[in-house]
Amino acid sequence: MSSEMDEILQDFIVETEEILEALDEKFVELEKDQSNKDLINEIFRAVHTIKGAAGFLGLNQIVDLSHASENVLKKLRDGLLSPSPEITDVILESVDKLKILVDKVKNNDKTPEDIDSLLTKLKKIEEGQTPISEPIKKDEIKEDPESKVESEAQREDKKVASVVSSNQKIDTALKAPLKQDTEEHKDKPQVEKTIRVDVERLDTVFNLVGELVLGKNRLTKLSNVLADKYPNDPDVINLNEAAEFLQLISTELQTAVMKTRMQPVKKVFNRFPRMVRDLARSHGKEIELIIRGEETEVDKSVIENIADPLVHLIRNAIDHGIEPPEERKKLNKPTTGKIILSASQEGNNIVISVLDDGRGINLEKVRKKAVEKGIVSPEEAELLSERELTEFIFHPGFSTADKVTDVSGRGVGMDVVKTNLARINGSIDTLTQQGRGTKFTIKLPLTLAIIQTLMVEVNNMVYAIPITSVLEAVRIDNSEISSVDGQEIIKLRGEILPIVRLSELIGFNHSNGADSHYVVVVQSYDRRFGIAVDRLVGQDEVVIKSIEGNIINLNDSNIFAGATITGEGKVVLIIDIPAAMEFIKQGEAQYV
Amino acid sequence: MFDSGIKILVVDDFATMRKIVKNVLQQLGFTNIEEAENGEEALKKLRSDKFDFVVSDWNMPVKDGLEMLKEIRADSNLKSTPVLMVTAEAEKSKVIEAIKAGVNNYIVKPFTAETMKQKIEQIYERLKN
Repeated sequence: MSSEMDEILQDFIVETEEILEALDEKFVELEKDQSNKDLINEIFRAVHTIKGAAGFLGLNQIVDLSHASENVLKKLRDGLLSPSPEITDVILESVDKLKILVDKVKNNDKTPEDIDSLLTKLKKIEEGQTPISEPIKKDEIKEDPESKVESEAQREDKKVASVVSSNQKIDTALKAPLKQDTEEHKDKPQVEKTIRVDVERLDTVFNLVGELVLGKNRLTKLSNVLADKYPNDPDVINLNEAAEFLQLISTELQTAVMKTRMQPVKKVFNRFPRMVRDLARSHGKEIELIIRGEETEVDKSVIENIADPLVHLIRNAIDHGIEPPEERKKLNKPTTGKIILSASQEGNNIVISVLDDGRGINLEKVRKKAVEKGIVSPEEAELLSERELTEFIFHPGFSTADKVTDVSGRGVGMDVVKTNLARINGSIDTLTQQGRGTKFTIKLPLTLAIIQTLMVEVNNMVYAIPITSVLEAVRIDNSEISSVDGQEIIKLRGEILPIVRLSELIGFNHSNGADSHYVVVVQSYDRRFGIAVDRLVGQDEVVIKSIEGNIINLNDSNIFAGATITGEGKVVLIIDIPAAMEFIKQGEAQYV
Repeated sequence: MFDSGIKILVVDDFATMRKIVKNVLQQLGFTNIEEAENGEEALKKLRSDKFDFVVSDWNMPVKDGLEMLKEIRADSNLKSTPVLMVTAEAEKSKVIEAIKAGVNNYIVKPFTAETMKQKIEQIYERLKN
C-alpha cells in the first residue's frame, strides 16, 4: 500500500471511530423521539459516509454491513418502516459490529468477521419483517458495555487528541479539514482553525516544558544566590531581570501547553446514554439519563482515568438505585427514574457528580453488615453517624446487595472506585437519603502532571508530599508520641492520630534521634493519619516525572508516586499517600 | 484534454473522503485543490474566490450537494462553473434530479482515477461543443 493510501486509511479509522461513537448518543435520542426525521437522516448520513469511504479502501465487509444498515435507515427516514426498540437493537448491533470491523482494520487483522446473521436480520427488517422481540441476554450485556467503555476510552485517547483553538468546541475540531500538503491557502486564513496532532508529539512538548520549568527553577535559584552575594553588580541585576522574565514566560507557556491537552468530558460522557439504555432495558427499568456540563474541559490524563469509576457508579445507580417501574408507581414516584450526570469546574478541580432518584442506600443494612463483617462491634455500630455509615460502602468486600447481580457485583466495585480515584489525587463524597436517592460527588485535579507539594526532610534527604492530601503540619515533642498495640499515636487537640515515621516508611531505622518532630497530618480515603518528619522545608510546585520501573523502599514496598527535580537540581521523591497509609495498622486510622 | 492548472473545490463532510478525492485528483496531475465541508461553506468559498471546477458529495449536513448546485446555477457569477457530483450507488435514482438542476456529470463511489479522468474529460468535451 502506498504511503498516501496508508495515511488515508489511518484517517478513515480515526474518523469512522468518531462517527460510530457519536451514533450511540443519536440512537438514544431517537428512542425518545421516534418520529424525528432529522435524527434518522443524520444517522443514515453517518453510515452512508462510512460506506462511501470504505468502498475506496476495499473494506468490503464494512461496505456490506453499512449498506444493509443504510437500507433499513433509509426506509425509516422515508417512513416506510416505523422505528421500534427491536429495530433500534439490530441497528445498534450493526454499529457495534462496524466498530469491531474498524478495529480489525486498525489492528491489521485480516480474518473475516461473521456478519452474515446480522445481514440477514437487517434484510428481514428491510423487507418489513420485524424481528421477534428477544430481550438482550444478560451475559451479553455483561461483557459488552463495560469492556468497551474502558478500552475505547483509552484506545481512542491514546491515538489522537485534537488540538482546539481555545474558543472552538471540539465538535468543530473533529470535522475540521485535514491538510498536510504544501498547498497554498494564504488567502483563506479563517479555514484552518484546527489541526490534528499525534498525542505522542503533544506529550513530548509537555515533557519538554516540564524540563524547561525545572531548568528555569534552577536558574532563578542561582540568580537569587548571586543577587545575595553581589547585590550591586549591574550584571547580576540584569541576570535577575532576565530570570524573572523567563519565569513569567515559562509559567504562561506551561499554561498554554496544558490547555492543548484539555479535552471535554464529553469524550467519556458520550458512552453513557447507550450504556444506560442497554442496561435499563435488560433490567426492565425505565431510566432517563440527563447529562450536564459535558463541555467542561479537563486534562487528557484525567479523562483516561475517570471512565472506569463513572461506569461503576452509573451501573450501581441502575442496578441498585433506580427501582423497577411498578415499585416506583407504588411509591408515588414517576415510573421513569432519573440519573443526572454532571460536570463542572471549581477552581483547579473538576467536580463530577452522579445522582439518581432511586431508593438510596439502606444505612441500617450497612450498619448490620458492618457488624456482621466484624468491622465494628455492635456497640460501636450504634454510635456511627450517617456519614460514617456511608463510608463503609467503600470498604473492600463490603456489599449490601442481597444478591450479586450481573451488572454490578457491588462491594467489589466501590472500593476499586475509591482506590482508582485516590491514585489520581481525587476524592469521592456520598450523600444518600433513603427512598429519595443517592448522589456521588467526585473531585479531581484538572491535571495530574503538575502538583503542589510540601517538601519535608528526614535523615537529611528531602521528600515531597502532595499538598492535596495535607491537612496541617504540627510540631510535637518526642515525649508526645505514645504507642498502642505497636502503633505509634499522638494526641492532637484531644483526638488520637496514628502516625508513621517517614524514616521508617523509607526503610531506615528510627531517625537521628532528634527531640522534636514535625507531624504532617494527611488525609487519604477520608481517613487521617500523621507522617512524622524531621523538618519542613517549604511548599513547591513540581512537575511529576514518572519513575521508570518501580523504586521501592528498603522494605520492598512501593511508596513513591513519582519523582521531581527541584530548583537546586536535586531529585526528590514524591510520597504516595494511599500507599503510605498501608503502614498504619487497620482500624487505627481515624475516619474524618 | 483539460488543463491541470485549474483550481478545484472538493466538497464533502467526511475528511477522509475529501482526502481520497484529492488523492485521485492529484494522481491526475491536479495540484490546485481546496476543500469545503458542506454546501454552505463551499458557496462561501466559491463567492470569495475563483474556482474552475467543483467536485461535490451529495449528502451533507447544513447544505447538501443538490441545494448547493441549485444555488450555483442561480448565481450569475457562478452559474457556468462545472460541477461533478459524487454519488453512492443508492443515490443513482436521484441523479435525474441533479441533472435537471444542472449538474455537469456524476461519478459513482467507489471510483478509480481513470474513471474520474473520463468524467472530467467528458465535461470539458461537452463544454467545448
